[in-house]
Amino acid sequence: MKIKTIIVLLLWLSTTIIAKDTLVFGVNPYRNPEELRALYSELITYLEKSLNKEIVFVISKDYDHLSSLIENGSVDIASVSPKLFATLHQKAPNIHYLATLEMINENGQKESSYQGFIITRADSPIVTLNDLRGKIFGFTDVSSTSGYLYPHFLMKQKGIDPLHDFSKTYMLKKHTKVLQALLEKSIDAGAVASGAYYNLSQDQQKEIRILATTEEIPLDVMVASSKRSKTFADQIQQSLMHFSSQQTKNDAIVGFTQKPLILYDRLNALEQP
Amino acid sequence: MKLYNKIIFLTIIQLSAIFLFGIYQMQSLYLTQKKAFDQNKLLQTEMIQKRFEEKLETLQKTAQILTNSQEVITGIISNDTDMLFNWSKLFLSSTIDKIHFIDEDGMVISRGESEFRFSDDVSKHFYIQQALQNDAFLGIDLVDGEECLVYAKRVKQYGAKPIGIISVALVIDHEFLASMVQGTMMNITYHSEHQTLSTSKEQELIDVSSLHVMLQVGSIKEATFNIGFTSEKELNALKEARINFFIGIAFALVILVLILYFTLLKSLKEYKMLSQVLIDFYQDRLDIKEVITTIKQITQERTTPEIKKIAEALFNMSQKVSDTQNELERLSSTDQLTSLSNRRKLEEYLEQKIKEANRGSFFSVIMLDIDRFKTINDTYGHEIGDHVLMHTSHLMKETIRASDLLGRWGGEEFLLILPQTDLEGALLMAEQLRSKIYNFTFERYPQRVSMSLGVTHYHKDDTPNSILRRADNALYRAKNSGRNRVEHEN
Repeated sequence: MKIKTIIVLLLWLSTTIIAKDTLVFGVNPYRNPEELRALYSELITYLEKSLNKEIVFVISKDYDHLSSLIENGSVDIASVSPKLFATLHQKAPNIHYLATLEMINENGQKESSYQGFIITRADSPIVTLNDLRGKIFGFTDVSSTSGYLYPHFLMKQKGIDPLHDFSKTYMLKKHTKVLQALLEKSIDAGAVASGAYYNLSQDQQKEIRILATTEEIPLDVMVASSKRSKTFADQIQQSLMHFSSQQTKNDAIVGFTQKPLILYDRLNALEQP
Repeated sequence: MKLYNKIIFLTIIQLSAIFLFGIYQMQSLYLTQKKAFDQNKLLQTEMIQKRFEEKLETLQKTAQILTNSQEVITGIISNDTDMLFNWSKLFLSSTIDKIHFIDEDGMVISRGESEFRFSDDVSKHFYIQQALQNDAFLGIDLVDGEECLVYAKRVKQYGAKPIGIISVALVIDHEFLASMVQGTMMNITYHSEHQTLSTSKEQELIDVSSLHVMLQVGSIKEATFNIGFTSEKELNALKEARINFFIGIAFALVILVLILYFTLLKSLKEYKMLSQVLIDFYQDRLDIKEVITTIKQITQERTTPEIKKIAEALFNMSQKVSDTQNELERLSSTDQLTSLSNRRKLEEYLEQKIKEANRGSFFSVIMLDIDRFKTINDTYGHEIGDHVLMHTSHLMKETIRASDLLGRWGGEEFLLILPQTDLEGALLMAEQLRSKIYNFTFERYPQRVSMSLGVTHYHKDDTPNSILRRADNALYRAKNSGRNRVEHEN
């Protein structure tokens, strides 16, 4: 009996040690997996070195899935969309805000905010938001800030009810998919993040017309699960704040900054009817 | 019946029996193979049928799984194109080409085989209408412009509220048809109002049967699947082999019989020759010497060892017969004591000489008699008498010519026939003989032996009796004139 107890303890200890050496980093699938891995690769390498831990990169099924992974502690840290952070923060205030991403914009400058675009094809008869009535529209995900929330709010401000005024509404999950579906004429218009638009080739950009632009949206947030300690969160935060990349490619993650949480919390209000 | 005819006949009987047995066996084999072929064909037909049904089952099962998935239902309700696309990707394979999620208005929400193509209206399609009407459709219809086996099923939330349709389709193309008949010897043809496809280049199938397709009538008219062979290669090969076998056997039979016939003819000819020689001998067409000559000839000719052996045996036998015959001849023609010709031989020879003389030849005859022979026998005994006879004979034999025939006429009387000898010659010979005998000293007889001789020669129209009578008369005179002398009679 005594021996059995010792063995069990040793096993638990070893798994704990092993567990302590690994960090699970989760993201939601707002782009395809290859693009996401490429986007976060430099950061992951930096964190592994800085924290002396092995990082396991996990792409969730969707926004809701990532949310549940963070809540139950299956992921240690995550990069979440602003809306998702707002929702999480509302549900679980103990979630640790670590930092806001800084990325290179279409002009090659570092920024920590972006915009949402409502777009259509350049040859489309749709000229104004009003022309969207009765058309087929594509969003990404209901939890997406630029792919759903802000465009939704913008259209409502312009008197268009996205829930009723379109002939069909499709959820396409990825911003790139919205763009592709638009170019293939499966949708008449869609909502995408500005970064996704600026990632298109010049020729493809010419095929698309921007109907409307949302106000500035703070970029994605790095969070730590509430299941992790404050000390842990502070350590990660410090590491992130020291991260700096020399990349110049559009949409590359080049650093982190601190933003007031109110900028995110107000997103919850945008959902109100 | 002649021997070789018998042999030929028996051989034909036996070979024919073998031939017929072979035909029977070949036919049995053919029938067995055909039966196996037919059974194989049946199995393959069943296998193809089963494959077809399995494909339909796969379509239905896939649709069933998707319609039972809560995530799929949520995706249809929320028009989540991406999530539905990810789901359909899991099921697209070689057995499923298209998976479409369609809302209740007949608008496509997502296509598994084309990520960015959706929102088009398919409500007018027959299979969609059927699914909306009857909750399900299994049949053949055009899906995105391609003829497909399609199963469309109504999706209901909580099993009650219809929210859309899932369609699962398999394109009917060459690949599909090929997969149906893979591993079999059969070919399949699909025919509809739009197209005809076949796995066979020849298009025409043999021994065709239709696939039983439990499908609902679709918008595609006259859609049928037919399976069959393009050629009964295996069976034809078997038929050909059978014919070739029959022809080969018949040919072999004929050749064998012919070879046998000619071989027998050649072999038995020599046996026949031998047997003919014996028959000729038996029927006196040949004498033993001619038999020996003929057989010797045969042994020297190129012939089979068996014939040679028989001929040699016959030769030896003939030789023995000839020797025995000669011995018998000799015994029947020879005087035992003196070894001279006997009376029978002398008579025979005399007759022959007379015949020859009648044709122009001539001869003489001397009758000889030992004087007072009876006294010698009586005084010295028969043994001494025989001794005198023997030595006298020997002396005379030494004196005469090879062509002369000397024989013992009887007792102490001798006859000498001299061919081609006139009287004068005969008298000379007679004198010679007389003198020689008279002057000879016998071993066991102390006294001289004298002879009386009577000589005559052939006269025209002489008979044996007449010439012997003259010789005898001459002898008689020689005896009466004092013995130990030669007399003649013309």
